[in-house]
Amino acid sequence: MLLRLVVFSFFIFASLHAKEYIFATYPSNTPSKIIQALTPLMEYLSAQSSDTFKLVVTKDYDELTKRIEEKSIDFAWVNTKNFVLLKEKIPSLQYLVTYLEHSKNGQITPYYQSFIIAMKDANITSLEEAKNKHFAFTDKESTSGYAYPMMIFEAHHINPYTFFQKVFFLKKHDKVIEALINHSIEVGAISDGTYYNALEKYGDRFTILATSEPIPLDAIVASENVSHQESKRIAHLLENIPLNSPAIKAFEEHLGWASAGFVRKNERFYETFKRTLKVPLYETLQ
Amino acid sequence: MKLYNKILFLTILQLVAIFIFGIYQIQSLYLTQKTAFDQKNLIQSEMIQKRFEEKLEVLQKTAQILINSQEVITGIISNDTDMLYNWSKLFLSPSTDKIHFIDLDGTVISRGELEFRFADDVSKRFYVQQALHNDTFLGIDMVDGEECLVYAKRVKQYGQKTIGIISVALIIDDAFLASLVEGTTMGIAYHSQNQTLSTTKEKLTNAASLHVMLQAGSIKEAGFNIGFTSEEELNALKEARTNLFVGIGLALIALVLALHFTLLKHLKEYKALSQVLIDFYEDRLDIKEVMSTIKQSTTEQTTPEVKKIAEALFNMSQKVADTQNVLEHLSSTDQLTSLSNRRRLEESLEQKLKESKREESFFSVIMIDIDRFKTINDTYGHEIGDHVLIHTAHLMRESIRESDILGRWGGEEFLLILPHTSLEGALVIAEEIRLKIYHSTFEHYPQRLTMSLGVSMYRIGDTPNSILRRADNALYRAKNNGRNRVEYEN
Repeated sequence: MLLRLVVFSFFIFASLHAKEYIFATYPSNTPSKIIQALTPLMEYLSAQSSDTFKLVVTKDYDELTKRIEEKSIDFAWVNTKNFVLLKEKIPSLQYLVTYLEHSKNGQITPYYQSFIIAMKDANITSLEEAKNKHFAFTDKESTSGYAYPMMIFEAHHINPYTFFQKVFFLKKHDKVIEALINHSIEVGAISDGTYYNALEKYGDRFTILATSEPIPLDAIVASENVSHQESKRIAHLLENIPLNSPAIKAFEEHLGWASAGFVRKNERFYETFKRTLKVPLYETLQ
Repeated sequence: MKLYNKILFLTILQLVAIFIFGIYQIQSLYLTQKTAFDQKNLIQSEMIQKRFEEKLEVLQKTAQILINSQEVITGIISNDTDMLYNWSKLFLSPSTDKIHFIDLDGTVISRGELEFRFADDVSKRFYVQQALHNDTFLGIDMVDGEECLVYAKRVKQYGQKTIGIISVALIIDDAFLASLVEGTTMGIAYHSQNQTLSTTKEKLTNAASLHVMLQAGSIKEAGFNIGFTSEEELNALKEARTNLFVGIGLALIALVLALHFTLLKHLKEYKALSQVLIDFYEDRLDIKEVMSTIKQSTTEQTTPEVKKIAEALFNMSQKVADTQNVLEHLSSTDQLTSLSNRRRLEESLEQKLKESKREESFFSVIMIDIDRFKTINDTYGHEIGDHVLIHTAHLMRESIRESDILGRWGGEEFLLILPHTSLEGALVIAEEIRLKIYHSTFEHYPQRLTMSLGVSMYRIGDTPNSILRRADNALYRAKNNGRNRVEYEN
């Protein structure tokens, strides 16, 4: 009778302490695809934590920031830039884990890189030799297509807008490759993944002129709502997610990501990105 | 005027009138059609002109829309190739082949038609320089190696500061020219120092320049000409007119010839018949010759109408001939004895004299008189007298040759003409006749009948009277010498 009372009391206690968490992300892809990709992860977390995780896809990054500030969300999936900016803005933001991926070079890494490449037939072997050539970034909002390449230029004391004859913006990494192949530009900034894909598609026709520092992959963070202990517990669950779980498979299926789970790194892992924010923007928009 | 000429003249007159009326009608139709043709071509020319102007308008409007876009301005300032491409490709159409965004250095930032071709220098291009200096350029120039209608205009930030150029171009090619003249019967040709294009392989006729408000470009001698691809319709019309003229003319000639030969064929038969009648009337033919000629003139090919007329004429001639024969017979025959009468004998004698004179032949005549015939009439009556005359004539006719001519000269006197007979032969015949009569008996006259005969032979220079007088003298002598005898006078 006493045992029954203890089990019942535990059940009542557990029920009273089960929480409902809001897990938010911004639309980095089609919202429906994001929902399909992340829902199994919510199910995994709910099952493992005995809490309830509800997925919310905000309208955009600004809304996500605002809601973290307002504490109307508990967890968030953010990219590197967002994490760095959010952390500066909301110091209480708690880092949980970094996303892991199977790299094209065969390694499992929590980061990727930017390459500055040129066509081999352009006979450019170093960044310095690319002076007065035509260059292309992807997008000013792109981490690997703009921010980290800008860090490379900074390291070489190069202002790309004066160093190169012309600088163009082609939005997508693949388009930089196509522009190189069509000899519209001689030099371009792309992600390592794009480079390896181009290698498969066009063969060894490119010269890597410079390589960026590792660019941390996306992070999962917790707002002030979540206790430090609770955030550690959730981070632990994420770190230990099986690679064959439906949550991991859903990334591959709906977003095409070669996911390898999550790893808990030191927050300083993201500090390299902070330096990109200090790189002169050389804005041409007047 | 002959019937043939009358018919031919009147018929030709009618045909010529129809021909002239036909020519007038055809010419009127031709002129009406030609006016419609010219009108259609004028409308088509205006339509092509309008289409060309619309093409230019599309270029200008497209450029203006893009210039007014803030995204385009931002894209040019920030060299956002991708955004400019995404914008411009929406405006590409059959009337807009190329959209280029060019910065102030003359570097292409983006091409709407080629996503990955940009960053090349076009600052030396005429249209770029013109747009940079004069704000706009509308004309013909080379764009990426192709001759194009180009509209280039400065792009300004806040409507003031020039940040670049937009060029919108339409390639001048066969498809462009074809789109201008589509659905028309006209052709268009484009000629420049670099190329000559035309919608037709044939030379344009009545070609005229297209009135286009284009600025002088770097392409020399560039211009458009419109004209008829061929005057096929008009030529067809002319050919139809000529064919109708020739057709009617040939039909007229054929009709006249057909009429001519039909008239000749029919009138020839009628003419032959009428000529027979004329010859008969003018005594060139006698009735028998008329009949034989009519018979000869009708063949199997003779038309039924003429055949019937010929038959009618033949039958009529036959009846005339029969009547003539009867009359002739009546007029030359003695009614009592059925021998030739005196008129017939005189004619025969005349004829024999002519023949003898012409042929240097001879003949003889015998004047015969029944002895004491008045006594027979007085004694036995005239009926018996007539019977004696008839029977005597019959007996004499049996005694003479077929070629001999025997006739009643008058009363109980007979004359026998003996062709090709000498005096001796005539005396023999005379004696045979005398004896035959003498030995003959008569049914109603019981007495022996005798006759006296006077013979004479033709002599050169004889007349009917002279030869008859000698025969008559011989007869008188026979009477005086006792009757029932033959005498002659040579």
